Amino acid sequence: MPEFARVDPATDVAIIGAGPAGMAAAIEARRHGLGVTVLDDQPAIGGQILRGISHPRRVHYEDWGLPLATAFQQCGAEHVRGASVWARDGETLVYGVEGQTCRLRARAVILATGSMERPVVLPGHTLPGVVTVGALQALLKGSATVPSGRFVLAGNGPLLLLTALQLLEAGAAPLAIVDTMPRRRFRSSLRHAPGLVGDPALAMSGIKLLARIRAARVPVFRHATDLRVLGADRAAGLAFRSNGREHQIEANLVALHDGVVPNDQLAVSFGCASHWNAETQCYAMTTTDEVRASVPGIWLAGDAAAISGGYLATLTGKLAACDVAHELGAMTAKAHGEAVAPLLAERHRRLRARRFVDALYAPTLSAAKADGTALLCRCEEVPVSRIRAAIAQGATGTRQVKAATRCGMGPCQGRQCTLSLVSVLAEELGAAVTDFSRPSLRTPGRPITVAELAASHTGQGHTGSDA
Amino acid sequence: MLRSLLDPADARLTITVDGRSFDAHPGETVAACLMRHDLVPSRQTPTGQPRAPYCLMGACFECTVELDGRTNVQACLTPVRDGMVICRNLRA
Repeated sequence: MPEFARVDPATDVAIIGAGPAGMAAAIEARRHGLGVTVLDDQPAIGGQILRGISHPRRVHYEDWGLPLATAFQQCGAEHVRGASVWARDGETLVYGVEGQTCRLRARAVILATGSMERPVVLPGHTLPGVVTVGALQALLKGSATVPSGRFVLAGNGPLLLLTALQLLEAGAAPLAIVDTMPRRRFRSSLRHAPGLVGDPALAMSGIKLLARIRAARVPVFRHATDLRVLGADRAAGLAFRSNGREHQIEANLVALHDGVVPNDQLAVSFGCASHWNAETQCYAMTTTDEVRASVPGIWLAGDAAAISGGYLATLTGKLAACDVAHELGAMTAKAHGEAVAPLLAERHRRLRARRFVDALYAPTLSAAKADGTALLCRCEEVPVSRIRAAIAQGATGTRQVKAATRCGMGPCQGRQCTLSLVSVLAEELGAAVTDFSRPSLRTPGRPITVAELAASHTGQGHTGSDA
Repeated sequence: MLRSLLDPADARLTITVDGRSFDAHPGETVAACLMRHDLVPSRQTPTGQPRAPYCLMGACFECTVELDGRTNVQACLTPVRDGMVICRNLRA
């Protein structure tokens, strides 16, 4: 007899992630009368770009941010903070809140798990005192903390510039920006510049940002290469080459950045298909009608599927919710068609502008060229040299490298090394990334205790959470 | 390495790290609090290498600590609470 048989609490739509995409999806789904539960692993709403928007605000947010957050808080969706989803068992999601295992049955799942920073691989990057640039922004917006001593920002990308400005406005000036954008990158990106007419506001905000950084007179070292973090037990500075000269900057905090990529771990572990995007040099989720994942019952919204930024994430959030409403019979085909047409038109117009941004800020710190001593897999402490050795000894794909080195088998489950691994494989074998299968991900997508696993068992109808 | 923008008088919570008490601001995360008090490394790898919070958004798992008896808790996703007990389990 099924001793633990129970009926899981049920909702129409479970949305994972309370950033722009998740909040927009929740508001839209509620408009169609659907029951909505939003599971989010962060302490408060907002995701990354709107982090901190619901309490005393430390930075200026984009104009659409506060109205979105307010509408979300009033829309009637249930919001579960600190909820970390780790399995999907049939229609039931399994998640943990402070070590307690919870289950939620949902007729539809919208994954709105946002983006994360592209992993950077260079010597010394695992030392205490090295953080990502996004980390400094999160500390400012979420915890009202800023660097207290000598710090530098190094790398490439709009987030680096925006964070520099926000820190300056908060009274924390970086010693320098070590800019890794290669020579001639701007010129080679110009062929995409006509697309900027699709989103003039994006272009204007970029120009304003650059002007304000320049006005703040933060020293900028351009076309920097050969970055390495100095220090034995903690960061003591950053060394690099710029314009033919060696430089060393003493600092107790070094923040690195090389753009953002989809935070798609959960989608992949749910079996959703993804494909390589050569332009952005990362994976993108494979979708139909923009928002449907390859697995029935799962939708994707926002940067989790492909990077397009916070505002566009609100559009795919709405699109996903409309699609779900139609699928669940809460919206007629006619109403659905009328609702999605303008959303798709606006999205496609603005996406044209993205191509310039993507080209201009393409990754600069590829692990393929990294110093052999740099750790490629942080969790299992696997240096680039060991990956190269495994390939030299015959490994021809991600699985063989993983088996030979344990790369990707630690707590982060490949979040921090998959893109580096495939770029090293491609480089060493003279192949394309598409020649390698993406490392598979199995449930649970994060470390859980045996007690958490045991608590996920329900007896009747239980099919195993690693299904 | 970090300082708070808030009034020090508002740091009215107390957390315990490796048996010592530290002030904490309501709303800050455990990871921010550890970094603000320069409590790095916050853990060591199996080979003894020092590590500290890195991404501060839940993606890298570098900031895991033992918190109120639970192991592998991501400090960056956890807001401080008065009386929290944290162990870094650092080996000499």
